[in-house]
Amino acid sequence: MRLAATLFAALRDLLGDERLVTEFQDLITYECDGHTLETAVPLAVALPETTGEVSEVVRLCRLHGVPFVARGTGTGLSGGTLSPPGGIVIALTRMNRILEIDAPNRRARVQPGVVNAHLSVASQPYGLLYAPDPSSQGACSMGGNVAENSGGPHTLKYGVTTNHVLALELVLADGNVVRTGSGIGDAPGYDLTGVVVGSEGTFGIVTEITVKLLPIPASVSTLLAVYDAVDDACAAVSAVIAAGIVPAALELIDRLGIEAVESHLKVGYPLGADAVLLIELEGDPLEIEPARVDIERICRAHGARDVRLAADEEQRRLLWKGRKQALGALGKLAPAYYTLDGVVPRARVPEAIRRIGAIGRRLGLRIANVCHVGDGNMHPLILFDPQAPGEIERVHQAGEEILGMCIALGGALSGEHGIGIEKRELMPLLFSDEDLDQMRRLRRVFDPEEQCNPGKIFPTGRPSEPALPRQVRGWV
Amino acid sequence: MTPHPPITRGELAALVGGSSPTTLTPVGGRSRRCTVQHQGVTIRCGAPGTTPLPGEGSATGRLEVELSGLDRMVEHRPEELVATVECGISLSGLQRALAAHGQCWPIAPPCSGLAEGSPSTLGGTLAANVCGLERLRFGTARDWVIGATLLRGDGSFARAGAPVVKNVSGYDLTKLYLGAWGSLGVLVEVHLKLTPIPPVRTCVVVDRSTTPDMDFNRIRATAASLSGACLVDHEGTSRLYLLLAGVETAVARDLERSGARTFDPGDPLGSPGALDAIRAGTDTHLSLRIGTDPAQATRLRSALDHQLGRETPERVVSLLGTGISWLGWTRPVEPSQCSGLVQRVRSLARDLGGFATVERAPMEAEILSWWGTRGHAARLTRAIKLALDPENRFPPPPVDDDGD
Repeated sequence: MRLAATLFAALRDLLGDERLVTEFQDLITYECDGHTLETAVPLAVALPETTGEVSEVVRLCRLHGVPFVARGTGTGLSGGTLSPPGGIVIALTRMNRILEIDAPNRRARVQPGVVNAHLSVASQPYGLLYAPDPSSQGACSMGGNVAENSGGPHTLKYGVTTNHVLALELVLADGNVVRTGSGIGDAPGYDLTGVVVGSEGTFGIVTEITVKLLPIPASVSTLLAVYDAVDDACAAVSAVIAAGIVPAALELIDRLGIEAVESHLKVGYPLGADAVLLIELEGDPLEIEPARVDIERICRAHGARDVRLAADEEQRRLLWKGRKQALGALGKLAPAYYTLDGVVPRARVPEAIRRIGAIGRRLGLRIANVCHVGDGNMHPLILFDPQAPGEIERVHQAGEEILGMCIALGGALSGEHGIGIEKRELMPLLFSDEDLDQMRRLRRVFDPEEQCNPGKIFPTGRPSEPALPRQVRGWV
Repeated sequence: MTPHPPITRGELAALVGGSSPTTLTPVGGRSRRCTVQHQGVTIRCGAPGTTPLPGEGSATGRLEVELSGLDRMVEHRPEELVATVECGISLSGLQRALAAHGQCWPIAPPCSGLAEGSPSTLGGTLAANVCGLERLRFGTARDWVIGATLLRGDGSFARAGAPVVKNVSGYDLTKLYLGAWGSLGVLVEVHLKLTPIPPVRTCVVVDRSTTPDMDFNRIRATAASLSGACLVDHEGTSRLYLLLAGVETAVARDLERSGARTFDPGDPLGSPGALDAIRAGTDTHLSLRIGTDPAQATRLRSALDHQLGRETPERVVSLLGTGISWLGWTRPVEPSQCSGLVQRVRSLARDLGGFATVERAPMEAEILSWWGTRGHAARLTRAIKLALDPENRFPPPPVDDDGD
């Protein structure tokens, strides 16, 4: 307690009372992120406003031997911002300025607390946008996107966060500030920016991000293809890619997802269908019009009973509303839900969905599938009642079995949510001792004393402690 | 130099992880070919019989072992747009195999010429992080390599990534290995992300471009099929080349809008291959890759004239819109002058918001830092090297205390 009191006094000197949270009832807000199956209340929450303050908070933590974790808006889905035991949270929500939109060079500099969607809104007058678009983009922050290497529906064409980050300012675990990369994005030497992106806050705290901006596409074409069999929908996806067409987005929602969306959002998805594909093309009209014709033909050839083209922006918005709010709608079907994130080769998606169904039936759990099918990124969503005896344990078991299945099919543990605390014990399924050793060595370069978000990514050999979710939230 | 038959992955591991630690010295790290030495044995990605480039002279008298035997296309899944290949594969072989399925790895597609009959291997290309002429559209290798297997100094293999296009499972170590000049280990196998070959791709030239930046901006705003733009100052002339790729109607429209024309027969730069050879600068004595703010290509040229005077490079090649240029000195440069020249160019590049890195220099030149990495980034670089290659079996990263 003396240690905490000394640290708190130093932090209070630095930040003042209003930017240091220490009361338990206030700290509860920070007990978890969007992954609500585990919780931990931090000792305190610091709210710095500048890189200098972040650096000083980190130095104080190091001086007192207190671990810390950076946090944005708390929309993460793998428990990556869960406070380490006896640790503090460094919340970056007040570092939320867009520092520069450099239109001639098509890039922007932002602080980590900037909300993803706000950057595209600010870039729009210049005819530019920021491409990565997680479904939580109206709430999630750029710093969190960097930590988790976030994706989104349109990453099929444009890539994930790492493909759009040019340079970073990073506060290291010793408080020193380092700049990685360059505004050009082709800096010589080790790609430090590339390894910091997706490192889940274990290398330091990102305090400034330089990203690429892309021109707003000249035209957009959005299709909804309706199927009576998930297998047919997936076969159509493979056929589209095999035909040399890479849409901007290619999404799948299964029967349960369609029912949830229609009962709560009423966007016009056809009830009774086994699956819908939401397909979007962006770019030059001369390129996308023939592609649209080809896609429509391919979808019908693979059993689509209907293929609808969004006639205007309002129809397009509605189709996307159904997809982006599908999880929220599904959440209304049960007291709680748990969103998984795994990847399989896209040709194995039908098999993955069948196996997920079998796991759900065996464990007595309802599981919906909403996935970025174009890049094989599965988001099974398990509906459950945390008050029902043994249900949380069965949810955990289902999650582990599904992710193990993804790896067995040649995939990976996470497509865009990260490993965090949620999947750390599963890492040996994917990586050998040598693979993990290489990662640990790198981690110790940046953070030799492992004070920077410890307990994440790497297996501990201990099962995590399930918690009763206080609230339900999540996006994919 | 006696060529050794291509070796297997197991033999390579035994060789590198041998019981007598010996420094693996860089031989071709300054070139596109990645070469290391161990116990008198040279390991190289490049094909046999290739002419040693400046900086490779120390290979003389050593037994040469090629990685070109590790050249299998392990798996190509066209429906996934993913391939797993061994790094000794030649770029031309790789592209040929992919083209059979209408796909390519876009960093050095056949159009660029880099792959046409070139002995360059995938591993060397990745180790040196070479980009293609279509960087404007496709970016760099880091965007198109989604996993890697690295041979470590102890002879073990470490994997990162997976053959799926979306993956955030653990640290993205693959990115660390690209452009590392072989200093962290030997890239043995990689997972590549692929793209469909566009129906039409062509290279055209804009005559009399006196304001290339403005011309480029005008063309980029209207030519959706523009995949690359290359401004070449060479032998007293300045020409703007455009690479267009897409469906036939789009390319035809953009050709007309741009005011560009196809090449005259007999034009010495009348093919993307010739263009890329100029860009690669294999005939230069000193070559630097320079990064500046993308909007500064014209200013770069005036700044070079102003600050270097008579020492201005004879050749400047810029990939417009990307910020990347190559400076090439085709006349002999005194080795003793190289370091000073590099420092001045580096200073100029930093003033323009960027960096400069040495890609080729006379063997005798004393250049402190080829990469020009500074400050905490340089310290991190050295620490990473120590952590991942504690016995220094692989070449040191070319970082020094330049301006540190």
